[in-house]
Amino acid sequence: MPELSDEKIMLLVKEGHLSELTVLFDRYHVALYRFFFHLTVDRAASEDLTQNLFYRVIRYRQSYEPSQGSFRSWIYRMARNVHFDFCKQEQKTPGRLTDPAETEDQIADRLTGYTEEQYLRLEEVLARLPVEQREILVLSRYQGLKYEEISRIKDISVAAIKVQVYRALKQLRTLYFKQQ
Amino acid sequence: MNCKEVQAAMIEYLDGALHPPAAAQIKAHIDACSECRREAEELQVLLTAMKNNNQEMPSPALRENFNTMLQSELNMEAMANILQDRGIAEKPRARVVPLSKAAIAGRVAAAIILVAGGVAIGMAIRSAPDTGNTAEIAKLRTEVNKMEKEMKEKDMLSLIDDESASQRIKAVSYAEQMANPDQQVIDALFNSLNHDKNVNVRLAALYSLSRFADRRPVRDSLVSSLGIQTEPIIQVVLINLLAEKRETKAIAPIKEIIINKKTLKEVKDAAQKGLKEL
Repeated sequence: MPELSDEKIMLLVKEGHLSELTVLFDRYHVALYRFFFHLTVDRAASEDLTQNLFYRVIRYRQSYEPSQGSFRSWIYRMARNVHFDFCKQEQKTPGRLTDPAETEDQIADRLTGYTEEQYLRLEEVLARLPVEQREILVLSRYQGLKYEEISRIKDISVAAIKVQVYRALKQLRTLYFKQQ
Repeated sequence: MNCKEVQAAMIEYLDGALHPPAAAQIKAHIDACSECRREAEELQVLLTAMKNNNQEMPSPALRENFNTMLQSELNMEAMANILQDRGIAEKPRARVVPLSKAAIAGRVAAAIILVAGGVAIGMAIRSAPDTGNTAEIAKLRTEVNKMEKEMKEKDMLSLIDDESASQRIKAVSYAEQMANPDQQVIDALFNSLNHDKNVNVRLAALYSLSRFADRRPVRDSLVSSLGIQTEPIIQVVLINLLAEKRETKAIAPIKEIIINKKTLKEVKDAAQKGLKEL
């Protein structure tokens, strides 16, 4: 039997077949967890946010309209909102993920024991970018989404996305190579 | 091509997304321009690092919590259906059954392990209804059902003390599929309802118990439980259930809930409403 598309499954969920959500969880939870992880650099928070996101999918399942785009862009839009709310809740300005007082060493401490040096450094530097830049890099590079998909998620033109990606990478590069 | 044009197309160039002629132009510029070459090299380092270092995995707890959440949503939906059906001629189960079947479908893995043999036989029988030998089929089916029942009871009683909340929910939800659970099962369910630390487990236990609320001992224990529950959702569901059953013994504990200062307003409202029906 061919696998059902994300959209068909989400429609089943919308109609009340909640158990079907397990399939979408299987397909998306790792990617979405990583989306949150690269934004927050916090494993526990990322798991919570992923959980919150799927909770919202259940709560707001009636708002899903396949005519308005793919399931993927729908859930990523929701993921952005979940992260935005998290920033507000933490009373962190959305422009700054980490406590401003937290040093790079402290960020590194949180990551130690898991990552290789280069990855560690990359995450450190990524965490220093403003949230918009961090997000666009996570979506386009870590999540591997196409510019067209990001354009639908963020509701801005593909050309604007390209510019944003380039600027973010340039900024990342400056930070990454400056202090080495 | 000047530096600005090259930089504008740099990412696509590094991603290998440009057409060969355009890529060749950029390469020519990069070979000649040390600044752009440096930018290309450094960006390449970052892009590769981001591509390769995307191994972070969530802990198993994430899936576990998701399953618990989903199960609790299913229970709430089922509960909502029970409450919605109140007043409609004592037939609360008709709409609960499809939902609980959905819940079972969600636990396919467990179900397969649990009753793999039984289900397989059962399905074989069902898919071949015209073979004629109905008496034998009926006998087989009875045996299968008995086997399933025993396995479910055994499984339920061993899972009900599991550390994981989702396993406990699974355990208490098995009971809802039993036509005639024995006292041991009922006791286990009440123990979960009254003492489990996770509200979803308590709710699932209550959901299972509500199916047997027509039994007098079950009804009495539900009334006692009302006196010790403090979680609003459990209180509301219990009040509604007992009011629906016109259980007059519930009047006293409901009144206590109303006079208790710690009771939430929503619960008090539900209690007042329930009281009127009693």
